[in-house]
Amino acid sequence: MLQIRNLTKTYGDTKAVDDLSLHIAPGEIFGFIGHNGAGKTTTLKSVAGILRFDAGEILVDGTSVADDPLNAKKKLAYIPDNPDLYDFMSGIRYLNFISDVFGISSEERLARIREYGDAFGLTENLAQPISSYSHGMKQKLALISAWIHAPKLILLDEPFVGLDPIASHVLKEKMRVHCDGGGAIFFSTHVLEVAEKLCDKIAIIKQGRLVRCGTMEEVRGDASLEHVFLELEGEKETGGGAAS
Amino acid sequence: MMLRALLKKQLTELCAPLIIDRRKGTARTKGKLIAFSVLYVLLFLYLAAVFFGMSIALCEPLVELGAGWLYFAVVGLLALALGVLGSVFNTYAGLYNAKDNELLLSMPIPPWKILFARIAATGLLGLLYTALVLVPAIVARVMTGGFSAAGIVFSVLLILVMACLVTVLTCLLGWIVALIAARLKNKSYLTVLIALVFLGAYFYLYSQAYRIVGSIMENVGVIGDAVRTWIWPLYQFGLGAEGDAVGFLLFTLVTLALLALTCWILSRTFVRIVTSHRAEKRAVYKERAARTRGVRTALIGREFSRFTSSAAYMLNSGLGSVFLLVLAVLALWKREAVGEGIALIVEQIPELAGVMPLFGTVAVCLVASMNMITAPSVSLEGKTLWQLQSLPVDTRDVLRAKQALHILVTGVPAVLCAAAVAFMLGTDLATGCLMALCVFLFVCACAAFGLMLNLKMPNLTWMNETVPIKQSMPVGICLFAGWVVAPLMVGGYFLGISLWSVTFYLTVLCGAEAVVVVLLDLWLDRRGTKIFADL
Repeated sequence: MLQIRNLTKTYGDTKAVDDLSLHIAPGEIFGFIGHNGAGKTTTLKSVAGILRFDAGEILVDGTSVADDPLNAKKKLAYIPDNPDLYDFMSGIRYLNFISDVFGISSEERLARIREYGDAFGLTENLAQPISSYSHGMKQKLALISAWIHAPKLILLDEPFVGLDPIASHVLKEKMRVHCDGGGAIFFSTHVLEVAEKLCDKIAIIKQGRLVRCGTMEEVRGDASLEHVFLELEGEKETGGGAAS
Repeated sequence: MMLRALLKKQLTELCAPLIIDRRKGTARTKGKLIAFSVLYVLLFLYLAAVFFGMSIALCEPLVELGAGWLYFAVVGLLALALGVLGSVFNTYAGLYNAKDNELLLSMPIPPWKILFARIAATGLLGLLYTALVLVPAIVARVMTGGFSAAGIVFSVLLILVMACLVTVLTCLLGWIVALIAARLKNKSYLTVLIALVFLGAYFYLYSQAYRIVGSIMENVGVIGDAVRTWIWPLYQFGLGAEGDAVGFLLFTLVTLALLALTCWILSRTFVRIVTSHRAEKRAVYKERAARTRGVRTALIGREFSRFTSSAAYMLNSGLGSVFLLVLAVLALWKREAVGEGIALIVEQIPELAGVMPLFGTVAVCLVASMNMITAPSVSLEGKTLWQLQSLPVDTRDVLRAKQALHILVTGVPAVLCAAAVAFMLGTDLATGCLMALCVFLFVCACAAFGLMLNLKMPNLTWMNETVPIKQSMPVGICLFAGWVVAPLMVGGYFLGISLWSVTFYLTVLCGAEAVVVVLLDLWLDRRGTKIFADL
């Protein structure tokens, strides 16, 4: 579903992402872990077609993000860590705008707004202006807008920040259902417990370079994910972490 | 102590535009600070000179007729009107929409102190406007002669009292606007409507100024009686300013009583209004099938929503459309009067006989250039830019939607206006069509030019949307571009006056405009899309 090959992105003299390669198969929830400034958001933005990258290749379901960005974007949805939405629209108007862009029929969008709006408990607030929404409500609306066009790949940057426990639970369920239906999810998180329980595969990035990647069992072995992460970050003295 | 700190904060806020460079977020250099101060002083001196001219024209005849009090009553009314007009919107925003209201309310500060500090800041602004009218008026009165020492002392003191009355009225108006706005869904429309009413009143009074002054001169007795009967406080103000102690005391006492009453009314509702949110009157979501739209239509719809959601955006970037419509109506309504005026001009300068269609076209273009919807449109994306960049939409379509909004909002009234002007001038159909086409192409060029400027000079990190809308370089350049282009459009004709007729020249002008539009569009196609994608 997603192929990242030798991705490199620099800001001035700093390499934000350095020769990163990842492969996410259909049906996988893929977690992306790293310290602040490790290059997670840069990678996600490059995949979403927001940032131009210096070297490498990104294929979304076989479509190159660099060569055919419009068709690649049609297959994915991206939600940033702090979704600034159009405050001048109401929730429902925003969802209709996104649906129009993706060419979703009237019946389909109505059914999906009902399904996801009810699931996230936002239906009653859809007529309100987005400017009156709390951070969590904006996050929920952004999530509904991601699911409304049934993308193959969903990119989420810190999706659980600001969500209440019920919405977090619903999101985890929806992520699983999406991947069970043949889709894929690539998301970054700092909540290691969530990653541990939710992800099929995980990648740890440090200073733009991939330091470990694989299934949960392959990455953590018998230790906890937190232990492995701290070890790789050099915060623990117990053994040296090796890149896969 | 607490109140002093609050007053100091309000004062800092008032002076911030002068001291701080908002674009860089740093303090202005000493040189810039002096330059800005000189600019402000010159502006105030200019305005004071205008009011002095008006005052001296009114003062001498009225004092000679023994109606010095009426002179002060009239200038007092003028000061009151200017003060209220100048500060009413700041009052609403300053009292009820201040960003730090909730922060201050969370602190151990009695709400009345917060309100008092804000009202004091409003009063200071009111004092500025009042002094702008009354100081030149007092100077004019002194120069006329026969002004007592008591008159000088009382009239100077009455500047402060009049500022209090201005504060009373602006606070009450701001309070009413806040009460209405709290119940309204679309505040931006209300703000635009009120601004247009005030602007209309201002232009009406401005256009009638000489007639009003003349009328006062001719009917001193009748107007004097009317003021005494119907505007009693102004009568007392006039008497007080002329040196009457009773009049001075009565006006001062009434004003202070009104100020106290206003503060009491406002303090009783302040916290409730400030902490009320529209969520209290929830719009109910009703499930219904939405009309599906194509991507381009959806993008134009998005631009339209952005435009109409902001009163500042509509007023600063779209006011030209209102003027165009007013101009169109005037052209039809006053057709005969304008025709007579033109005939008089042509009688004096026969060479201008055939040039009127060009003058009319350029005049409409000039008014249309007041609209600059595309100039801040890229900057206004601000932190939401990630959406357009991550959605599967062609960047050129995004830019086209911005151009389309400008052309729709400006082009339609501009073409109507051009048609009305052509009708007023009695041009033939071909010339009328050329005038309309010339105006339309000018609007298209303005849309592309504004967008190009904003792509070259974007500001996506603003905290307040008025920064890209009012204080950005692209908007500033667009504002003056019309005044540079208009003389060129007229001058071009006179350069080759022996070579072409106006109709031919309008055709050439249309061709030139079309070339400019195509060149700008090509730039947007090639460079503009890349710049936008890399923002």
